[in-house]
Amino acid sequence: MNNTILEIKNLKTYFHTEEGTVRAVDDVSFSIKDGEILGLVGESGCGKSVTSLSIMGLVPVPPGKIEGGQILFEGKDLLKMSEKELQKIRGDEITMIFQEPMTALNPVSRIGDQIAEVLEFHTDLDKKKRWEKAVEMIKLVGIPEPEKRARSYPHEMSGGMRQRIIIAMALIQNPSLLIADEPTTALDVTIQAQILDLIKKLNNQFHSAVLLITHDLSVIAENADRVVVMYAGKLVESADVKTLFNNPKHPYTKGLLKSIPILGKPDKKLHIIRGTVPNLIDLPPGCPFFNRCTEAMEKCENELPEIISLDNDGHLVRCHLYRQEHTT
Amino acid sequence: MSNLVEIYNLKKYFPIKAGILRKTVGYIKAVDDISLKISKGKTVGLVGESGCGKTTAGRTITALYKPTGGEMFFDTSPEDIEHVLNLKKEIETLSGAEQSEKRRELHTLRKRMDMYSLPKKELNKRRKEFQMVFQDPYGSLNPRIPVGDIIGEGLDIHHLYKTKKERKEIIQDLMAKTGIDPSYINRYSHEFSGGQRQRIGIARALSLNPKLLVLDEPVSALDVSIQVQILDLLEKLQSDFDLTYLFIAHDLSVVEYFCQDVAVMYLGKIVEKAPRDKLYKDKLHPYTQALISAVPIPDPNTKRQRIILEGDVPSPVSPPKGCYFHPRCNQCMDICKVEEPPVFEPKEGHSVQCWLYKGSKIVG
Repeated sequence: MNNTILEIKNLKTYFHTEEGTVRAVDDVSFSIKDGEILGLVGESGCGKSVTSLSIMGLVPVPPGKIEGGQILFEGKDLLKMSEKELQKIRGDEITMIFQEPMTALNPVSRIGDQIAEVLEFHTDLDKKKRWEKAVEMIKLVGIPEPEKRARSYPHEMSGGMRQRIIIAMALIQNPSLLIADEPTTALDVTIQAQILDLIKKLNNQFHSAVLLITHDLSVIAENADRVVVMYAGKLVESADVKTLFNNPKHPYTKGLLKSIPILGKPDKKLHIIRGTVPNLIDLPPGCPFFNRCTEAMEKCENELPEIISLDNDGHLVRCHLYRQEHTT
Repeated sequence: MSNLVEIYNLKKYFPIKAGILRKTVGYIKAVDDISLKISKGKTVGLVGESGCGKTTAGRTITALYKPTGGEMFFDTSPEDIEHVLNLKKEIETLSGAEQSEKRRELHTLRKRMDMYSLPKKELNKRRKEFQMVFQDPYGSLNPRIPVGDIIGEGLDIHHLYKTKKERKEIIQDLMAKTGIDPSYINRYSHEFSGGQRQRIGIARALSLNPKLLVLDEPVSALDVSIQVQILDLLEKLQSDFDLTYLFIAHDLSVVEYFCQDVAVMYLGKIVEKAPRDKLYKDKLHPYTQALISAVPIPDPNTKRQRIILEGDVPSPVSPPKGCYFHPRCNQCMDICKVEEPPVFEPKEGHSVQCWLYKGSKIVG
């Protein structure tokens, strides 16, 4: 059960705009194993959503363009596939949950029909069977009165219920990879707890791997097995969840962890990361975190650090501080 | 310590209109009978899920909405407040001519002290004492005028400067104090990032030298690293300008970090209210217990027992009978389904609206 299901190698997704080229995802590599929950965390504009769109083949072209790299899904490069081949995989083997449960559903179509539509594309089931399967999925994601709910429309449901419907849609074909892009950001905490609980339960039950994209480190801490931290389009640190939270190495990760208030520890002095994320259009040649880093050295300004492997368990960091100790 | 704000039985109902004649067919009770005190120089947190009425409460407290009922005393002496409240109680026991005479007396008193009964002109003059910082740093700034004018609009309205030069000085001083480069005075809001825009919103609110700032989710639209910068700024401004804050938020860890007193709202009502340490330590209301247990913690080493609430927040148009929380409550009893609980005070300074504490002192 430890096969790599998705491997991203040196992915470069750029956007060519009038003002210049935005390197939204710049030389990012990571992999997801079968049945694992990989957390992808970073602030807005760090490239986490563009990474997920690149996997799904949904980057708007133009202005976007995948300039290099590979996205290997079960060994096959998704970037080399035709649109037709991709469509077979999308919605079947790789599915996605979006951030906005309000806009991701079709307002004029019944919930049951929208879920069953997936089966129309990917299976030979007849209409009655498809409907039955849709009702079954609605029940599985914990919505009461599934038969009745299947006949209702999105506006008749709350945000939490709609997100459940989208999850039902994403899981109906039992995908090997589920991409959840900020699945709970638009929801209240009590509903967030319900949805994350559901994703974890289904991850256990179906062994679908999950790419969990969020800005919320607490959500990552409680749900992910491994974590990738991105900053300004680049991977800055990656490790298993316990290592990352117990022993963070990159000054950005360290700063972030020290800057969030923790329930039950109101007297914790919050660390302030000064400044803001640099403009991605004219990124300085050095480390993108240079202008905000408390441990910046002279070479950080002009020289982009390499990714350094800190141990044999895949703890990676992109920072000059660790260059002397380890090299790859 | 005296209170800057005392609110009694505040109600804000929005009519639901239907049909060609736009007849009122019902009410959304967005804020339904809440009472709250805010001590001078303190920060009170108002927390709850979306739709619980916390923003409406904030807007009514800053008199942006006219309330359906209730009183607000702003910077009024405790003796005066007591006088009004006693008079109100007295009226209920009286009848006839005596009652109407007392009523008139109450009316004149309220016109002088209760912010919601002040004549309009008077109220507008006093508005500068309480200002609001809005939730959405993108939607709350006019994109067509330079930030200098956005910050200076209040100064213009209240005529707080003599010369153009003085106006510019005040604005640039505010910008410097809130961490915006004063040389950006002629730039437009789209040229700023989310965090900087929130600073502009804060500068605008500060321009009138208010005593109370109502902060409506001031950091929830911002990135983690920017959130701390804004919280830090707010802390600094509070001590520099002797400000009192009402901090409206849904993030319970931020509220715990930032506030001294906390009130929890559910469907238009304050269900629990206490100083921060008491509230987070002894969560009395089952809703507060569930809400706090649902907050994720950024530490993979701790596993917590989580209370997963069933279902969603009911619609405030047709709230359930009895206690509004009973359909989702894991400790629901028979009485909860039929009768709304009064506000109990099981411990000094810690009040809760829940039947579990029947037998404790009733305070409301």
